[in-house]
Amino acid sequence: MDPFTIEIDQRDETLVARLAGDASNVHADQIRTALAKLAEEQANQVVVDLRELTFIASMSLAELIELSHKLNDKGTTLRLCGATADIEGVFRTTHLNRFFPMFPSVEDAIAGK
Amino acid sequence: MSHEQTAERLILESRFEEVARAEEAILAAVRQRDYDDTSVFAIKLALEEGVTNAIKHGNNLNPRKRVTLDYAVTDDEVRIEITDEGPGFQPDDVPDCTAEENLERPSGRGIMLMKAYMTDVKFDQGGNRVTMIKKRDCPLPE
Repeated sequence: MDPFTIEIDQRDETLVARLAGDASNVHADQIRTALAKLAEEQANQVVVDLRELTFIASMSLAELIELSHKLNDKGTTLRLCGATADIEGVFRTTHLNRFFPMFPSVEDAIAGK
Repeated sequence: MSHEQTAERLILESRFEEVARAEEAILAAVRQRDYDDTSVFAIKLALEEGVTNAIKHGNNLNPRKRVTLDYAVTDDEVRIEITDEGPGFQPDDVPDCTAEENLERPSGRGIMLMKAYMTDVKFDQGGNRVTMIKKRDCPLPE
């Protein structure tokens, strides 16, 4: 099982969080802590970059929903981008592609197009 | 490709780290038989959700309880049986996570994912045991 990592960059008013590796339920505590910390950051917009994510399971989907709620409460926009076909398939199967705005690239997500 | 079957039983403790041990064993057997990457992803996802459910909802993370994992891998299919020591549940009582009113709920997607990514999923023993089969040539949901 690949490790899970998260790196955060600030781009003007946007925070870009790059998730990489295996967002397995095994790593749920690590993911919960990382996304809770992300929710506390100040930004107009948060973009979660999924390009390097190789796997995602239900507990990580739950943490992304929690992140969305927390950001929404402070008026911060959350957008996802770069999902591979396998990862995008999980969002589509669970219908969460209707809940999360998804974009091809970080630049598209920042621009909202 | 080999035509022999790989079959084994693992006894897992009720902690999430054990999911990794289950995956390591089963996915090695699956890859050895040249299942494609999409099938490996599907089996990993269903296995992860099934074992997580057994540990978390079945055994309630009770360190005295175990999860029994039986699996068999052939060239044509992967069969996984997960049994917990919990009180059981009624799968039909789990709300539809894709319904509009449930879309923002954080939980309740594990069983749905298992059913979507495997060819056949059956619960028995009052919900204590789930048997999942993935046929090599069965397509994933559109």
